[in-house]
Amino acid sequence: MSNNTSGKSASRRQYLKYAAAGSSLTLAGCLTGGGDGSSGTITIGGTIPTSGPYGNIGQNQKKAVELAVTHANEDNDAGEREVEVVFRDTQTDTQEATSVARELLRQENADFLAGNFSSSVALAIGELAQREDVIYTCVGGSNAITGAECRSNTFNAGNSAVMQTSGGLRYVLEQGLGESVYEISADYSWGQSIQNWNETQIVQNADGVEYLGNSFVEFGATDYSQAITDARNSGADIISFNLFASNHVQSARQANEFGLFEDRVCVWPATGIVEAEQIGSEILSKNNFYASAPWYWQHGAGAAKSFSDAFKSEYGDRPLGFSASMYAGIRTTLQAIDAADGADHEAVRDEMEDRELFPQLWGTGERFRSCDHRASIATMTVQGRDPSEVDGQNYYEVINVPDDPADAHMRTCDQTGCSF
Amino acid sequence: MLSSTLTSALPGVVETLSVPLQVDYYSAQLFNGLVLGMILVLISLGLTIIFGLLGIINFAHGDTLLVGTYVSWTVIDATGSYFLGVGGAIVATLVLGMLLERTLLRYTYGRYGALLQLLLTFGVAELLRGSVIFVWGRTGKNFSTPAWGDSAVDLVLFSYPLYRVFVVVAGTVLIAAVYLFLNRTDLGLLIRAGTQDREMVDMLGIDVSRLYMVVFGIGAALAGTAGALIGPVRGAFPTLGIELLIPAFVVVVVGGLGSFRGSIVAGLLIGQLQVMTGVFYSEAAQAIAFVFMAVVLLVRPDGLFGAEVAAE
Repeated sequence: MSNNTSGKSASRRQYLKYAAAGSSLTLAGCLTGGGDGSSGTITIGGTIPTSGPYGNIGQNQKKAVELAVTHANEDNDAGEREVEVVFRDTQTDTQEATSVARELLRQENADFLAGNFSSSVALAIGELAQREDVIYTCVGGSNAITGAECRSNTFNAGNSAVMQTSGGLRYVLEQGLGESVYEISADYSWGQSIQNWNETQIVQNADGVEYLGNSFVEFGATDYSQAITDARNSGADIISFNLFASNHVQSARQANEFGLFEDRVCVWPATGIVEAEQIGSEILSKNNFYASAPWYWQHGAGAAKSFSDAFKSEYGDRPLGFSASMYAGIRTTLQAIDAADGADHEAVRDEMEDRELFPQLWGTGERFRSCDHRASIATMTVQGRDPSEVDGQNYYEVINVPDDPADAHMRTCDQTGCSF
Repeated sequence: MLSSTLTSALPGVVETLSVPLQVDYYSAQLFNGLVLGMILVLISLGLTIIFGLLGIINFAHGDTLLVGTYVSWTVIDATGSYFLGVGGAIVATLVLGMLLERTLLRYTYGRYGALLQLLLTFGVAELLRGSVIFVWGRTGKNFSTPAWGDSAVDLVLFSYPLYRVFVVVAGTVLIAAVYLFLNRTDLGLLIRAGTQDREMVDMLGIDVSRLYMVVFGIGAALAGTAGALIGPVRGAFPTLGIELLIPAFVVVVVGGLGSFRGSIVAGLLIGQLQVMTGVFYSEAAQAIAFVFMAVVLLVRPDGLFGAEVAAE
């Protein structure tokens, strides 16, 4: 009897012990999140908006990540480790993005996070990656990501608002295309970043150029007639439309309706083939249409052509600028993991700082700066091709690629307000 | 003191007021307000007719408009004729509206209150948007201005895009046509009678259920027409309908639910209010419509013309 009791008691104790041990292991797994990459497999947690208003851009970026994984496995970017990717849809929503990123770390044991092109989402996931001690490779234009709100685990493979406007307004001023500037800006962090930089740096540092004003338009606005009338009334030679994606499309169409291209230079800071397709070559090919592009598939660098052709061959369409950034960002991170001999965030971080991006899609020695973790990619300037020359998705002609983006087209490390 | 307070609270207001009055500039902005107002009226017209006559708050209205935009784009792309595109949109959305009424909405009349209709039309909206994405893709289409409208017209004080002037004229004609149809035709008379006393009209041997189908079809066709007219101004992209539905509801609520006259007055007022607010303080241009709605509802809870019905 006593034996039985003792046996039962021992059994219950053992059960409790195993249960406690099991719970501890489970909790440990839950709380630490992610693997360490030493298991022979590197899992990428892909955080990309594949639905919602930017779903089409996200779908293109997702393909670039898949292609990066395929090429990384072929070329042993991560050494002998097999690379795999698990995706979750962020829906370009900060709460959803944080939730799915956490899911990728805790349920899928992702070794690092990658993906996205929205600044606010990048800031939210970057915060999580910092808490969870994992690397986050992203794209996001807001200066804050690699500025006042920078996080040491976040590496940004895209260009900043400052770099975008360098390929736009700064380029047209350097070409002497006008002596006065008016801006129409989106009233959120990205648009405000560009407007402020244009007014306080680019225009102020340009000799003999007058700043005539700015109209903010709220997020979601679809009619720009009032702001365009203001811009026209200002008499400015150059109008900088600091508007992105569908706002870029709408504003270009309406600028054409109101005849702005006839006697004014109109410049947009971030364009791509999705926007080009919707604006149409009749408008893009106007002489006074200028835009900057984070990357464009007809870039002359050898690696750019290889990547673009591989993408086209695999998926039937061309990669977007954000996709190119993500492709290079992921392959570079994997090479850093190999060099660090695992996915430990501190070791990988050391390897990524000042590392050249691979492949060199911009061909200017672009690298992740140590001081703010922003890639020094060369934002190019494009103009539209004549409709008769458009075949497939070659809407733009690259008219300028800066040779020295790190020195001349980025904020200095002191200016960023971030220093690791 | 007042000036410094204003400057800090409303940057831009003082600067704008200090600019000498430029008649051409303010005239152009007023015309911008008129165009925006007419676009709002066009969108809310079908919504008002359907609510005023059938009592249905149609959440699928924005996406019916979206179907109109895409159908007209497709027809124009295939034929090169803008007016055939508008015709195609009208026919497609008329048929779509009648089908929806006959196959779905009919079974909700008198049952479960307005909630079921809200949920049903919300579901239909999702379905329509999904279908548009399935057929035409997520990326928007380049909806060009027709060649005849791709120039500026001299309006004495300023020049203005011809197509936008056309939208104002076409909108005015459409409003007049709908008003005359409902008030001066036999079918319009039957529709109004059917909505006021269905049983009586039924006893007179008139098929009221068919009238309801026609009304819903007309409301949907108005959405389709608006979609075709707006396409060259706003472009064709999958979220167009949702973006336009919210301001349309604001117009309908401010005008008074179901009031034909209310929608016209409210649409034109809100258009002016948005543009002129943008002139003085652009940051508040979008919010002003909602502030205006709150103020109107505080003063007149039924809206500006709330007690009236669609066919007043």
